[in-house]
Amino acid sequence: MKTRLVFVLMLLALGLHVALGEVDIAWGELLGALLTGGEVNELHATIVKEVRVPRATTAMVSGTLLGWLGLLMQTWFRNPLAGPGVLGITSGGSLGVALAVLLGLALPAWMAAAVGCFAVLLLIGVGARRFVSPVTTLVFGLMISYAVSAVVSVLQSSATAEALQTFVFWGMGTFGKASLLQAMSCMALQVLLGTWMMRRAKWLDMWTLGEDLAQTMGVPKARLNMEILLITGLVLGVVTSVCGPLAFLGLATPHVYRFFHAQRGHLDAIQGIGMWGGLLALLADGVVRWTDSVAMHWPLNAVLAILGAPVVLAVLWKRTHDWS
Amino acid sequence: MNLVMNNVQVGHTLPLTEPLSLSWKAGGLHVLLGTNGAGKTTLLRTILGVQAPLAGHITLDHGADPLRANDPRVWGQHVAFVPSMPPKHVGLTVAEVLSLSGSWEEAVSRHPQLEPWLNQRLSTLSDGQAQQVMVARAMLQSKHWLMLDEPTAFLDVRGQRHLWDMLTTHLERGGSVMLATHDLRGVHRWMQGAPADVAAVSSIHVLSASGLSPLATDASLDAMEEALG
Repeated sequence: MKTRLVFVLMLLALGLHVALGEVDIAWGELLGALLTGGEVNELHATIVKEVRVPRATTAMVSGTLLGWLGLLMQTWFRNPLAGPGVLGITSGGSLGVALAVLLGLALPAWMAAAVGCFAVLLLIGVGARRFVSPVTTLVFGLMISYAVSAVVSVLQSSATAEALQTFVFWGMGTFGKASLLQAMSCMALQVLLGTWMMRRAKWLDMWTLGEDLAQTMGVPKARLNMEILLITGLVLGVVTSVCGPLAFLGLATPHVYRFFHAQRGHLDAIQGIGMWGGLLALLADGVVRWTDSVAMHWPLNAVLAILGAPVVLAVLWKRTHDWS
Repeated sequence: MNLVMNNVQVGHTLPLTEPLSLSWKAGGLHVLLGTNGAGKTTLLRTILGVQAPLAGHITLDHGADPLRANDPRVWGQHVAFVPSMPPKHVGLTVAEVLSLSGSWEEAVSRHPQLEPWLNQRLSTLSDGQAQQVMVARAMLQSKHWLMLDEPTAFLDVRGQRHLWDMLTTHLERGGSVMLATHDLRGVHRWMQGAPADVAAVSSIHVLSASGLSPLATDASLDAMEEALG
């Protein structure tokens, strides 16, 4: 499949996401609201600019970012089952929100999540010298996750029902709470991560050949490790703070890409996975918004898992020999 | 460019052997023998610059200004590596793998047997085929030294023959080769029965805790077995 087709589908999904919703807005009015011209109902303009556009762009950009991080982690660990969650940063976000919400601190969830994520990132940064290999990092992330679940369950045992509900809802993830400013910071990160990955594509290609071999080919291992940890931490911290702990997108998107396209070097994969990530996130959020409109309110993470798990299984089924 | 070791001690925290001092002649095929655990791979990683020596230094003769192993970018232009097992799970095609270190056209003109695999992914090749790609890649990276770690471990007789041919090509172009292996019989077969068009072995050293000891390049299999312990 041509990546150009995926790009067109992604733009189409973006357009529909902005155009369709519970409030009917005519196409002419929609364009007027977006381009600030023509006769526009003020309420409709607000809905388009402050609700639908931030939500659609956040979905698209977060999907792209998580897809890229998934690719980065799968390359770094040389393991097809790695995803952005393995560093423990998302867990740090959960801990931040748990502390804020369950202890009743006056801190918005997104800020608490950001603080939690960056606390873990700081920990990684301090210990980075000791993270001589991805495996050390993997174990670190795993331990963080265990510790966080323990602390969260302790906090839950004495929390009010209302606080508990807020925390559980945060854990379900959503693109719907993003402000325009948050959507724009995600876009800035997209530029940052995209540029960085393109520049490092050759190192990443070499890395897939093996750690020792990559180093003899001129990849400075310590520097690459440090860059990967920092940029992944930064991007994941912001995305988790804006959207909650999103499951599956990071893990599944590279596999979807590999399913539809002959996988090539990182330069091609970065473009393809970026588009697939955006498309999948928009589709998932489309499902969420549709269930909202019929009063079912499926959580985003549930939709992502329902869509994502069979895809990953199908891909692994078809491609077992590659990973055997 | 001779590869020179000056009082080098290798290991992770404790030295595995006595200090090593030796100069390997450029343009030759050198064999490094050792049992499992003798420290061949550690020595190889140290020579490659992936691991720092505990003491001493490794240089390449380069006129008045010898090159040192602690600058990976410069070092990599003169010393390239072929691991014992071709990498798995590689999404790159053969042409892309070769392009990481130079022009794939150059590699194919040198080794025409690679041509049919150019658009195949490296992971879909057999171990023997993938090993040939890895050797061709290393030859694009370095005109001088090729370091091979147990290169014949996964190769059948035909695969070994291809490997010898490729290494011979490298030597004929003025390159140098170091083979680290425990495969006495393979080395001996090469020394004894190698066809005339395959390069002759220039030196054999046995690595053990007491250091590197030389072996005659026409040593009998019994003598080799004894030296290896």
